Amino acid sequence: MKRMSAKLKKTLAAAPLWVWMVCFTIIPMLLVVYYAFSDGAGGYTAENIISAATNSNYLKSILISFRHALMSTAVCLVIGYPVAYFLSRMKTGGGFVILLFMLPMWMNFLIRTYALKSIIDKGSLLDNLMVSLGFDSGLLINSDFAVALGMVYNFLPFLILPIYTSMLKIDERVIEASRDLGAGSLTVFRRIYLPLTMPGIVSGITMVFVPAVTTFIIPQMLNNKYMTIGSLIEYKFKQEVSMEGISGVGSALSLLLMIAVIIIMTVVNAVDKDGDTAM
Amino acid sequence: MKRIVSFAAAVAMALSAMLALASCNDGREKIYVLSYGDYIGEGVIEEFEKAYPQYKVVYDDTAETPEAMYQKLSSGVAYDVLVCSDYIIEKMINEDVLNEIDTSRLENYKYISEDLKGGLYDPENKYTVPYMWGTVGIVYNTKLVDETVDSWDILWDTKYAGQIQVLDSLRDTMGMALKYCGYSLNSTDENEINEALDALLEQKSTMNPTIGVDSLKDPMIAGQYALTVEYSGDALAMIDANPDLAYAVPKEGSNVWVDAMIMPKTGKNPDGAYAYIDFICSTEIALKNTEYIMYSTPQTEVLKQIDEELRNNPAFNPDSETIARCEYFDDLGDAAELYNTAWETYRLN
Repeated sequence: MKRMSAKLKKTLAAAPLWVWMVCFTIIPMLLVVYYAFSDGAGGYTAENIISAATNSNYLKSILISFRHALMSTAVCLVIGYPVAYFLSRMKTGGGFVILLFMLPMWMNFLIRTYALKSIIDKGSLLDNLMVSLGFDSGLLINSDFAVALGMVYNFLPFLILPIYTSMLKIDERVIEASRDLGAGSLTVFRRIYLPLTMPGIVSGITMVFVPAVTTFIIPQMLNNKYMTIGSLIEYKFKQEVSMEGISGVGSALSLLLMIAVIIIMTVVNAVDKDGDTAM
Repeated sequence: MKRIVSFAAAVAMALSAMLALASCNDGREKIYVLSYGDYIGEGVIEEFEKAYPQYKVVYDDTAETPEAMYQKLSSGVAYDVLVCSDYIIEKMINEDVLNEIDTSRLENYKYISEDLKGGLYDPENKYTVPYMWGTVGIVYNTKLVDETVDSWDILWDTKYAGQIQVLDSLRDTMGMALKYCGYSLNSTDENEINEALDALLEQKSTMNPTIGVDSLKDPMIAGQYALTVEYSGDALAMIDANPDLAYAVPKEGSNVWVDAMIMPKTGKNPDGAYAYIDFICSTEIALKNTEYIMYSTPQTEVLKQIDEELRNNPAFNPDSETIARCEYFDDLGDAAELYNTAWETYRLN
């Protein structure tokens, strides 16, 4: 009897999570699938998927988005990994520096991106500095660099934190032992740090790559010359929802993007042998 | 699904209407008005109710777009007066959901400018009373642009490469390109549309334009760009913030839009609707509305009374010749697909 009530308590405690998941994850996903295959009149059609998958313009926007995301994730990793390392090795003040990294996150990311735009825009402070160094004006804004900068600026903390956490877990004595056995710095990194922080790396990459592929505000503000896939989906919905109902092609694009991201994440997760990702 | 949603919306609206009815049953006849948010002068409704004690205005400004208004109306809510945009009005006229307006019952109708009557959306001028209007044109910084700005050509002039901003808006930007190529911005000819697309792609590669909507204003006000395509209403606000800026409607023509008052057939209080529309058209009230909203006014008397600087500003008060060069947006019909394809090609290449 007592065990039953404990079980019931556990179920009840998990109820909010389930309600949340069903309402805001499962039902919306089912709706996306439904509209991707709906012809708008209650019938079934594969036309949305076909036109989303075969349009060369759409393919181009997907490629641009993946290029942006790969670039930003790589830069985040190159900057974030050493930062996480030094933070985790700091005797005192590590928590404070982490706080400094987190501090901007307390501000709305739209405002942060808008601020970044006004810093790198034509005629801005940085732009004027570049001009005085002999570069052309307006070189930064509307470039791939601008988008990468915006994404790294916004997403870097999401990569540092999980790596930092997994580094903290590494036992100092393991490293001392490896040194005793004659391992050089490179070996220590390759044989100890890399494998032990792999869960953090994978989870960090996930936290940066997925939002970077789908974001539409950052590219729209910093380089709106080409619609990224996020912008395209937004456009498709905005354009069609007003008069004709939910966008079928927009849903189909969302579905395809979702599948692509899931495939990539599965591959990335397979690299992580422990399967211990905090995704 | 759509039916369920609109049914739910209708139920919600009926409930709120019933609530309003229950809470306020003081014998006054109600006039249901649907308009955009922030689109009427402060205190105007109270003044109307004071002038006409027999009426009470139920003012709904929750619809953000004309499309949303269209959906509200088709979900069966009975509005007596709507303030709506030209191209949706045209659709409503075609669907026969509007009452003709007997202008002889409107004492103040005589103040409406002839330039703005009989637009494409209501060619016989039977269903609409213009409320506010505006154009699309070029805002330019007189400190960065020496020459006269009077043509779309300047947005293809590589002298200003990297210094221009264009709208991320299908009809407005396709319209600009069509006009630049010398065609109607309602063209349904595939070759003309493709020519406009080529012009846009050329502009993108040679001029490196910044593409956006709301984000264009601040950099322009800050003097960072030389030329920006803008709506006249926004242009006025920008010029107000930076006196170096000026506005021009290109000589090839551009888009002109009108928001007008209409009376849906479902309305139950036509007398009240006439009283309300006439009150809004009275010079004193129209002046108040204009000074608050700061869009161009169709009222000739208001133009005489308003601030002189504003009257001489072409963003606020373009001459008849300029208006005559401009076109209203027309429903594209089947050609909409051509525009969509062209626009996606432009935005993705």
